[in-house]
Amino acid sequence: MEDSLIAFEQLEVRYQAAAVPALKGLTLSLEHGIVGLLGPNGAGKSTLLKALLGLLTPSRGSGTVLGVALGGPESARLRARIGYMPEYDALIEDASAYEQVAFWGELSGLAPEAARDRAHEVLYFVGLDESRYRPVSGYSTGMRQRVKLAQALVHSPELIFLDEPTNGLDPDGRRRMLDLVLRVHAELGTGVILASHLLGDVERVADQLVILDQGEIKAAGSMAGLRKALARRVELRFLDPLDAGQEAGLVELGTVLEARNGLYDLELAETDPAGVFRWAQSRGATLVQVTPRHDRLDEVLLRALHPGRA
Amino acid sequence: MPIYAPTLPPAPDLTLGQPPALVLMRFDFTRLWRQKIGRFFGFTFLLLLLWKVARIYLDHLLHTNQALKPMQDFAKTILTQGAAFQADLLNPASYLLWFLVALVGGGLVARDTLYRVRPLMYAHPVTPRDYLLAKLGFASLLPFLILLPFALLPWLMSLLLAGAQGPVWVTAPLRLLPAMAISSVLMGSLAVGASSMAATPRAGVGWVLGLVLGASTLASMIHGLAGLPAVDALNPILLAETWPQLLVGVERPLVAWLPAVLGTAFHIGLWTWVAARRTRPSEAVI
Amino acid sequence: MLSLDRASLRYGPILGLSPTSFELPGGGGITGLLGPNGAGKSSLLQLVSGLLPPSGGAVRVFGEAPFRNPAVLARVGLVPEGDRLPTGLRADRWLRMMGELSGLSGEGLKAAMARALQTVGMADRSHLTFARMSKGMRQRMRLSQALLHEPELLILDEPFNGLDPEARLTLMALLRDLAEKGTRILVSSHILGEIAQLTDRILLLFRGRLLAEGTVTEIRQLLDRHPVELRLTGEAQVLARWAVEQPELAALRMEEEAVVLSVRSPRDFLPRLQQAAAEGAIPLRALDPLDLNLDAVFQYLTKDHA
Repeated sequence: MEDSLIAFEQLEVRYQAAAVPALKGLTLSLEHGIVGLLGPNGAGKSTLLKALLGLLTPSRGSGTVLGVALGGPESARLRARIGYMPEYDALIEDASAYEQVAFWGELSGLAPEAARDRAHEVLYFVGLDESRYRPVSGYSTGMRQRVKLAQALVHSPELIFLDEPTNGLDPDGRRRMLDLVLRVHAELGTGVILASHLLGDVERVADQLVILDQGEIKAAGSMAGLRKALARRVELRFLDPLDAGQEAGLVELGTVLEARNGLYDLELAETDPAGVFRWAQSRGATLVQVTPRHDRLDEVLLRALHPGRA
Repeated sequence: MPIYAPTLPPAPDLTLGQPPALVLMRFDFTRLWRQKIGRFFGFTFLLLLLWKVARIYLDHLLHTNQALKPMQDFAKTILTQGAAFQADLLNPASYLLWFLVALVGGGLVARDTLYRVRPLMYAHPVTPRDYLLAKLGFASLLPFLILLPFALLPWLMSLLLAGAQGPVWVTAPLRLLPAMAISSVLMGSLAVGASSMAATPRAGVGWVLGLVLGASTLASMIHGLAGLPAVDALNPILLAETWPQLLVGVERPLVAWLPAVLGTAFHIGLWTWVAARRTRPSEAVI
Repeated sequence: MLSLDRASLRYGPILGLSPTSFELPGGGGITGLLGPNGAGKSSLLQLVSGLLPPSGGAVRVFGEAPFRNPAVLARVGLVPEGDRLPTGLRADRWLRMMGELSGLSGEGLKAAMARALQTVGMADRSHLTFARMSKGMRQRMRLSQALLHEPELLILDEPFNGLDPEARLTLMALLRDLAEKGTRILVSSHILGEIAQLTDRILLLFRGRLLAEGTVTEIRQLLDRHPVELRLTGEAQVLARWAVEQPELAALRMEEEAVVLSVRSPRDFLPRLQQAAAEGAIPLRALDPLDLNLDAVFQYLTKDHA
């Protein structure tokens, strides 16, 4: 159990008045790492979070988070061991970043002096320097997201839940935020659950994946396990666009399944990759990309959400 | 020589912290300090306090200085005496104090609603009860702390100048402090309840002022029209003023004992209930 | 079909778009308008859709200035940014109102509504109020509104914001479909991955200026200051031994079962690599250009201009 982040066994959670449980018998086991959480709005992500925080008691089944049984006597103390970065701007606008990060640290149980030292350290970690003494109302979106991350890390939790951490960030900001998420796991050893609508984000950082829909788990497991390499499938891209004759000649290699924006998805007739290069050589085209085709995350997601449609 | 990695040091101890309610309350006091609302109020309250203290000295002079003997009778007719005088020590600050409570207390809960930080608090080891306790505590402690010198300074002065014969009773603080506590909690719960109904701090100030002035106007109107003096027990301003009078034993207090007890209990109960309902975790969806 | 000639936009003293020139050819296809927040994407779209006149220069859509020009606007469909709709209103009533504003009426309007709803796949759900719709459904209704008058040019400002992955994929499929049927689509986003999935043709804006225009491969080739990074998968030792003899090699990094090469002038290097692989001289199993994606291109471009 020590290595597992989360282990659910038929976990069912329902809100008092509701007829249908919000989480319907989840069985799930996640290892320490970065977990991508995908699912449409209203899939049960926030209910899952509340259950993780020990705010909801399971109505059936059992679950452990960080080795603590949900609904047990210890579960109220889980909240001090978990950090939460909300999707929306949960910032105290009239306080400085330093002040509020220290405040959240104290609320998690740090002594006042320790919380202040820790706030400075965490703000350096997320990359907020001099601006930490200014009220956050004047911060840019990127800075605000960092304060929110710092807030989730200040008490050095064993698990953090990040809800859409790249919301509203431009490409540069997104890259930096995702790098930070990777560092949080690599350097601090913190388990991460990352809920995001952006498949690219999840693909970049996550090593495990959970797909949730209507309170049920549609797919879960390691990223590598879910995104299998497809046999004899390759993706080809050429230095210059192919002319019509070259494009027609692709059938000599196998079946062209899809061609979009200069990227050709092929099912090869033979398995020798050298054959592809030989073909290009004979046709006077220059290859820049020959990669085995893996399941894309959007394909994994659609398959999980609509098992019948495939 | 060891090289230390430029990352965070090991986990700090999470068991040494203060109770969440205290942390929340301290944060509100820090904010009050930063907002510098206190300057105007501090100055005005200081002047009022000086006047109270000066009156003790004046009273002392009238009694001891032979040259002022002729004025003694005249002074007695214009200055309050006895029990009314004791109760009056807390009085003139009343409207101003309500205004301060509205200004500061109005944003107390509304600000957290606006910034949407309450759900995040409940994701920490903070219970709704801690939250309510902190807000009520802060909103009640504020008027109490402001009234404290009004109860203690004149008393101390009187003791120093004239001992047991001074104008302020030796036992006055024993009566004034509980009265202050009741009035402060009344003010605090009203402010927190009103603030919990507002969406922004500014609207919260409006809610507090509206509730206080609305309830008092309504009560005095019904009193006047129906001739029912007991209705005054719904008037929070009168209630706050009447408690020192009741405890000190003024002959004709603004509100009688029974209506005062009922009215105060009603207000504190109602507004605490409102605040508790409006700050439940389900209300603030994560 | 669409051209900007040193067109600029200022809001009072605030810069929206610096003088910018480019031309978008006619015919179907999707062009992605990319850039960080505040780069000028919305300004450019406001000019093109005729919401604002340019502060300087000229904007031409179908050969005419679009500002207050119904002849042009009738051929343009716009899906503005945001998710603001009258929540209590039924979607089909709202759509009818939008159609009437476009000058449609009677049977023509009915047919147009049915067609637009069919296209976005909302025909059976348009009787719902907006409050009861998901974000993805609302976004599709907003798109249907722009399709009523069958525009030749469709403009979408940040249409994917806030959508969940499935709604995103549905919308992308929809746009691709429209493009194949001959609609020219201009779509803005600050998320590179989205655009990369949708199209290869991009306009890159940065700090109110047009930085680059073309396909990712084209733009990448213009960046000859930055060597191209290639990952060659196969027996690393053998590949490395072959690679170090190539004059274009700038750097080499070993990985398990692969080498990552930094190569100057890929035009000279790649044919030689291909030849060696075809002849069986090197055991090359896969070839992966690491920075031929939008992310890398964007990073290089903005770094050079920062």
